[in-house]
Amino acid sequence: MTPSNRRYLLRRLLLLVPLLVGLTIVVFALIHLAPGDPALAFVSEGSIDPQIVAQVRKNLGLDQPLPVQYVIWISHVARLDFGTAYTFNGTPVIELIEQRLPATLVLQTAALALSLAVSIPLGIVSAKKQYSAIDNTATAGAFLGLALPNFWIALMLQLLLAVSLGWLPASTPGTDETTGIARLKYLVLPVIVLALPTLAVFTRFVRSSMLEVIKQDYVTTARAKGLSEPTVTYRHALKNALIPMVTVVGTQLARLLGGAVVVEYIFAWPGLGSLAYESILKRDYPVVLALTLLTGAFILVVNMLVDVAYTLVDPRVSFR
Amino acid sequence: MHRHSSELNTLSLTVIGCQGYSVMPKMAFRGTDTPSMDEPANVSPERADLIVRQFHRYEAYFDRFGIDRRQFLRMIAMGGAAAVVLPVLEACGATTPAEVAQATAKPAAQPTPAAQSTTAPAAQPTQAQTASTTSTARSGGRIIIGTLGEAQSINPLLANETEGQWRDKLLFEELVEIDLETLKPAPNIAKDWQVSDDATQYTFNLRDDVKFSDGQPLTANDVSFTLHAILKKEVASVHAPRFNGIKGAQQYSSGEAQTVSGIQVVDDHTLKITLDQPNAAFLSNLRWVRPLPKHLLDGKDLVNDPFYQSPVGAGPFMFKSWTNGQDFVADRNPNYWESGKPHLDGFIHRVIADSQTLVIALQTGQIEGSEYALPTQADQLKATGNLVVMVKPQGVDTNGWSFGQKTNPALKDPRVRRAIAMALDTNRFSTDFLLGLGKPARSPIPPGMWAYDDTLQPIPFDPAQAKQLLADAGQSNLKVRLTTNAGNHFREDWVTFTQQSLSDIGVTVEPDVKEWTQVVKEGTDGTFEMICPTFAGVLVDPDELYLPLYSTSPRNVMGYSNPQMDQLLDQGRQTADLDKRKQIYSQVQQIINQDVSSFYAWDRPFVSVTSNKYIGYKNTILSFFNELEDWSQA
Repeated sequence: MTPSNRRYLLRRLLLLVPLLVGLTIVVFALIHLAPGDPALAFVSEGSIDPQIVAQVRKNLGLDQPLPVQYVIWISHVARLDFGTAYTFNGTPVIELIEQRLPATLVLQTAALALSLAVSIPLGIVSAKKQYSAIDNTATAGAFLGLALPNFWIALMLQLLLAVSLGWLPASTPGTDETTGIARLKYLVLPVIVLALPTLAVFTRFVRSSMLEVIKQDYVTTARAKGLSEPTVTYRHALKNALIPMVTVVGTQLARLLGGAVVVEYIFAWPGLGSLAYESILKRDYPVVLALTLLTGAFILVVNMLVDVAYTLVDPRVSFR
Repeated sequence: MHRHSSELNTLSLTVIGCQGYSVMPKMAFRGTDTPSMDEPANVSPERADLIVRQFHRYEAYFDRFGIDRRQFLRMIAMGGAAAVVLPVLEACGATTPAEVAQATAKPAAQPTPAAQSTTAPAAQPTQAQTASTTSTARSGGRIIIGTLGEAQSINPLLANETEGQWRDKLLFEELVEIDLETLKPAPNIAKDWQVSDDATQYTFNLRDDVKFSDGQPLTANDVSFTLHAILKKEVASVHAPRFNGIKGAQQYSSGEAQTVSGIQVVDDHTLKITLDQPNAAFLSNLRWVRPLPKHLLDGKDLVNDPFYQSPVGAGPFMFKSWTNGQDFVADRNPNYWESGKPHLDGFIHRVIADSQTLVIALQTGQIEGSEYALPTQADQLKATGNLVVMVKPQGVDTNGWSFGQKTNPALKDPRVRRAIAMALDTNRFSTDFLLGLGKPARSPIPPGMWAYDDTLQPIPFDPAQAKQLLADAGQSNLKVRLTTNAGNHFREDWVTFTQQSLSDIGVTVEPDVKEWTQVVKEGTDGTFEMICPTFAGVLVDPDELYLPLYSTSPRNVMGYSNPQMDQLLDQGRQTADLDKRKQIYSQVQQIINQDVSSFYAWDRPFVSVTSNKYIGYKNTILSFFNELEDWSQA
């Protein structure tokens, strides 16, 4: 890595900390502004006692002024102590996240892989046979995939494939007796729903990128040399067309940990997305804050890595 | 050498035989002629030898440089693909250590074939839908129970919702249990008790064979420890208000005293509790005392200790594992005091996403029992063939409207409240919206309970009279706000129904359907005008009406005040004579009916479903799976 690249990397790394702190301040303020009192999660329909609620608020530290609460929380986080959840049986937040993280990673990685696997060939074909039937279908499909809300697609797929036809299960069971390949069937629907928007974006990108590259001189030269068509397409055109894709894939990758809240909820996929949804509903502040911090840090780091990777992939680019 | 020569032969044949497309890497032929595409098919032997020699050179070159660029790139590609595919495989292939342990532990946990359970009750059960275990109940099986809501906590001091409290009961065991048929307190850990003449002193004799799942015996010290934990201020236990009447409890809570003077451990198996005043509901309340092991929790943080992540209790089942949002797994407690029970090896409490999925899960056998199937799906479930579907007795969840007199002064007038009640046709609501499965209610007390007054007359549906009453009270232009929680479609329908009915008599209604936590907040603060749930109902003992209805009670958020009611409520808790109490609470119900402090309109229908693999259940207003230790495979 050149010295200028190294300096850039260092600067980005140092910027991470104030950015994250700013993020936490915003989220902290917002979550406390939402109406609803976490202490009320500790009462039931039949037994509401104002004294108990007051004591619970005291135990959770909610009777302190907001800035004080924030400082207490951030000082714990600096020691990597994310606290225990208010609900969830008082499990340490780290454990909760550990439990749910693999599920989200599996889901998002599979979705990313699927969209890449489908979009790249589709984009190439679209580009080479521009305005043909395949290209038009792919374009229309891409716009549909972007325009249709993912919860609607999820529900429609569930209705069609799971309820009406019964080909696939409608949602994920917690744990059951199936292991191995049999468990793959629970992955199919959520992955399809998650992959559709990114598939659409990637296809369009590969298509336009390829179109640009195919018209370049070096591609004509390669053909003139007598190289076979696959060699021209893959070894010469595609390799260069994929350079801008690094950024696009990077941004989609950054969404990975965010977890697709809606999709995970609809399919009862036990990942970070549904954890975020549940903890927001229950006003479980420690979990919400830890998740936001984690997601934010992940996004910032991935963006930084994408920028660096870009310089590695494209020798024409460097930082001053 | 032999391998090489055969390869060479094949290669030379290939070169000679093929139409001329070269597959040899260009690098190896640097400086030599590349066979062109126009090479004639038939090559002379000399040419063939030349090519073979060139191949040798290629091999030598390969050996020198090891792997070449193309191979390297191919490796990267495959590595990348593997990196992507592996997580997917990992998801499916991985058998977690827990699953392996479960599979291997099952055969080890099989009890001896001679199951000695004599659970046939002496008195024949009168309930039609009961299947009691015979004296030779089969052992084994792990029932999977489905629920819609995840438990929040399994800390018996804090658990405040049905799921957590049910799990607590099975893990920790109640000091005194509730008999499922009579709904009266029955012996459990406390095998018998004596009450003093003035009804303020209770002496409990505990069983001497109760053990925690770690083998330690349960003594009166553990019970005392748990009671102190409930009353400790910092713990903020939901059950503290129930035991504030114990002598010395207030002083202990406020920190003045180190212990509660009214709780006395006489010996390992005898406990004496003294109350400030007689309280007939005290025994029923003791079902919330689920003893914690003092030897594990003494001096520890009773709220946050990691003990609660894998607790030890004296109940029929012991904790195995809990993946939040998914499965809660418990195994049979080998040290359980009731020998031969539980018959089941354990249970799995599984969280299901929504009611539609729940029904599908019941039909496919993914779960084997649940209380959360919608009554409208009862027929669909019965049609499956292997499920037993029963409608729960009426009174589990009585809904209607509670009136916030403090917030809307117009509601202080009982005529206004009665008018509102008269405008609502609960019969029609039950048939149209509850599909006849839920019935109109008349009282906060469930109809099956001893305290229920069956002479109660329902409030008649009379919109004309209602209008008249409003006019008499000078409230012809009444405005009210209705609050209920979103997501409960029975209640949401009730709001729509009420809005329609009330606008027919000239009342302007503002519906306010919101999130559960906010509804609870309004219910706690008393900032509601009309709210459903009523927050003022009875499940086990009619004394539960004391806190919401007594005029000076801190939990009287409705602002209801009636001196006659106060007097009756006081009397009701001071005598233990059931007949006298029945009369007292009869009058209480008549006053509620007259005064309409809350309008008890309809009972929500529930169905209990179980696979026909299991027997031993009882269909009561309490949880269907309340006494899981009695269940067994058919």
